[in-house]
This record gives sequence, C-alpha cells and structure tokens, in this order.
Amino acid sequence: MKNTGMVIKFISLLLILGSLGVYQTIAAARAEQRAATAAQIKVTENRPEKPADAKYLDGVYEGEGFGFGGDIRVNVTIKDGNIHAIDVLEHSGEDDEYFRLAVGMIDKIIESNHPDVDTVTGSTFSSQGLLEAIRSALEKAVKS
Amino acid sequence: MNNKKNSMIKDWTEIIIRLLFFITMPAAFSSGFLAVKLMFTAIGSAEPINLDSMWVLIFLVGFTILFGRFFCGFICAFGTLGDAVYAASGFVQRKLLKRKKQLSIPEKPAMILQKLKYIILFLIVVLCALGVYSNFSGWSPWDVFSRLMIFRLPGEGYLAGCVLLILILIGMAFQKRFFCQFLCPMGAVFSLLPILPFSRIHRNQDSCIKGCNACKKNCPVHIKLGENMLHDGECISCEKCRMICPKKNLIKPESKLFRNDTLCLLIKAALFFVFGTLTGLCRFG
Repeated sequence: MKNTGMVIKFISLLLILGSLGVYQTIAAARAEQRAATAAQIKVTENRPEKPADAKYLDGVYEGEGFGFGGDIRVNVTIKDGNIHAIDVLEHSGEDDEYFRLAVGMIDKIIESNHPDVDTVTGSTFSSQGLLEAIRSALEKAVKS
Repeated sequence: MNNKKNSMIKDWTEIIIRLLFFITMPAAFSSGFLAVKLMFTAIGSAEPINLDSMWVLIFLVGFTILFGRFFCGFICAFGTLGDAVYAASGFVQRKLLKRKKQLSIPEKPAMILQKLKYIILFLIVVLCALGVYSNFSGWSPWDVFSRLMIFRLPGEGYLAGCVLLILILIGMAFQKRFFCQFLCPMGAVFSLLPILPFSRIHRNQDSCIKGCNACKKNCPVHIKLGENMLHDGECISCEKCRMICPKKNLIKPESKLFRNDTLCLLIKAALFFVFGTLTGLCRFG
C-alpha cells in the first residue's frame, strides 16, 4: 500500500483533534461553573464605592516600561480611588501573538485593584514590560 | 540553455522569498510552537485552551497538510539561518582551507539523530503540562534568536539559551539543516502530520538514469525517494531534489496543474504571507 503512512497519520490526527475537542468542551463547562460561583461570591463582597483607605488619587496617569522590542506606554485611569481602566497607548515593539497574551493581565489587575499579578508564561518580556509600565503609572497616582 | 535559465529563475525566486520572510516573519516558528506550549500548559492545569492563541498553530498545521512542509523549506527563519551558515561554512572550507568536500555528519548517525527532535518535543510538552516550563525559559535558543533579530541583546538569565544557540550555529556549519532535522520540536510536529498526495513528490524511478541518485545526494534531510514512504514526513519541501534531477523525474502534481514551478512557489508564498499576516505572524502588521 502506497498511502498507508498517510492514512495512519490522518487517523491519529483525527483522534488527537477529537480528544482535544472533548477536553475543551469539558474544561470550558467546568470553567463556566467556577466563574458562576466566583460571581456569586463577588456580589456579596462588592467593592466599596470609595474606600476610606483608597491608595490612589483619581486621575489619568501615564506609565512606561520596556517590553520585548521597545517601549510600552499605558494610561491608567483611577476613579473613586480604584484602578478603573488601563489603556495601552503604545506597544509597537511587541510581537502581536505575545502581547495579546500579556494583555490578559490587565483584567486581573483591574479586578484585584493592585499590580501584583503573575507574569504570563510564554510571554515574559511583554508582560514584564507591561507590568513595569502599569506600576510606573500607579507610582504617580499614590497618595502622598 | 532554457533549462539553465529556468533553474536560475527558480533559485532567485527562492532567495527572494526566503529573505522576505526572514525579515517580515522571523518569529513565526516560535509563535507557532508557543501555541503548542500553551495548549499543554492549559491541559496540565485543567483549564480550557485559549482559542485566540491557537490560530497560528491551526494555520500552520492546515497549510502543512495542504502543501507539505513549505513552511520549513522556505518560510522559517531558523531554516534560512541554517542554510546561510552552512553555505558560508562551505565557502570558508573550500576557499580558505582548500578542502574539496565540506565536512558533514555521515548518513547513518544522522538518521538516528533525526529522532532526537521527538524527544525534545516530548520533554518540552511534559514540562509545560507539569507547569514548570517557565523555570526553563532561559534555555530557549530561539528566544535568544528572536531577541537578536530585533537587534536587542538577550537579557540576564539567558546564558543557557545563548550557549545552546552558539552550539546550534556550530552544528549548522557542518550539516545541512542541522537544527531542522535533529532538534526542531515544531518540525517534529510537522513530520507527524499527513500530507495530501497532491503536494508530495513522486519519483518516476523507471526512467531514472542507472546509478544516478542525484536526488538522494542532494537531499538535506536524507530522504530516499520512492524507497521508504514512512520516512517521508521528514521531507521539508525544499525542492532541492527537483532542482537537481537531470531528467525532471520528480513530479509534484501541483506543478502539473500550473506547469510552472516558480509560479507554484510564488502562489504558496503569497498565500502564506496573507494568512500569516492575518494570524499576526508579520512583525510589521
């Protein structure tokens, strides 16, 4: 048989894709369940409108960090003493694929209201640069 | 005469295609392999796989099934680097050291070394699944390479990666496609993929010149065309066999369709460029 090798490879590929599909469905369902429980907890301990111990002064602050291949600049918006939004102004030196991963940290930072989050595996340079930029912006926002 | 002109056009097309991708997509292979690593990191921690970061891999795998390992042969910056280093080393050995034949690894050990890449792939995947890969990120020679490609020195903690890169460069000088056939974990993934018959090379052995074997001798990855089909996954679609065959006995169904090899190369390169840019491989995108 001339094409046996190809047929075997095709079958294995389909098997791998199939098991990945099954895995993905199960994992996604589980993640959804976890998110639902997490949301319930969040409602009960909602963030105070303006905490007395708010660390930051309201305003928009710019910060800079060095990523994979150049400067990363961000604007951090503080509202009611909390980290409200983080906008990336510049990231031209970053590889798209890697930067997209690093950007995932932004949600975590806004949610936890502090920049002490883990860098993203596989995107060390970009996420370190992004974190550096956010931290330098927050330094300017700290109440003195 | 006409033949000579044709192969010169094909040579120059290859050089231009490879230079273009070397400049625009130097990190394509590490982006593709990053997706493999992320997939296993997610599985290791029982998280769903982030599909956004998988598009590159889906594209590379799909392209390879359709057109063979065109990516390895013409696009990958590490392959181009290897060919350039090997050519430079050949030049030095012939012109300065007056050697007649360039030093290289004999075929038998080379065929065994080709299995090494599967072990490397397996190790990296296991480290990712265990969640400890990030402890080894300073070891990656291609992180160092992509850093150098954008004219930045690799940071601290990349000593192991630098040493490995230098060792690989030395290996590249003495063996065609040293990294691609022995070490590349992405190549290991590709060589396990099925490739449609449409894009595979068929050898018309009946009309071969007796004892010619030019195609086998010119193959950088030791493929014996028409003898061992199972080994065909190693083919990197570099077309070196087709360029050297004196009787044009190596047939690719796709070039029958277009009747022009150079046109085929250009179409595939253009397709890759468009879809590669869409999936974020182009560094200027």
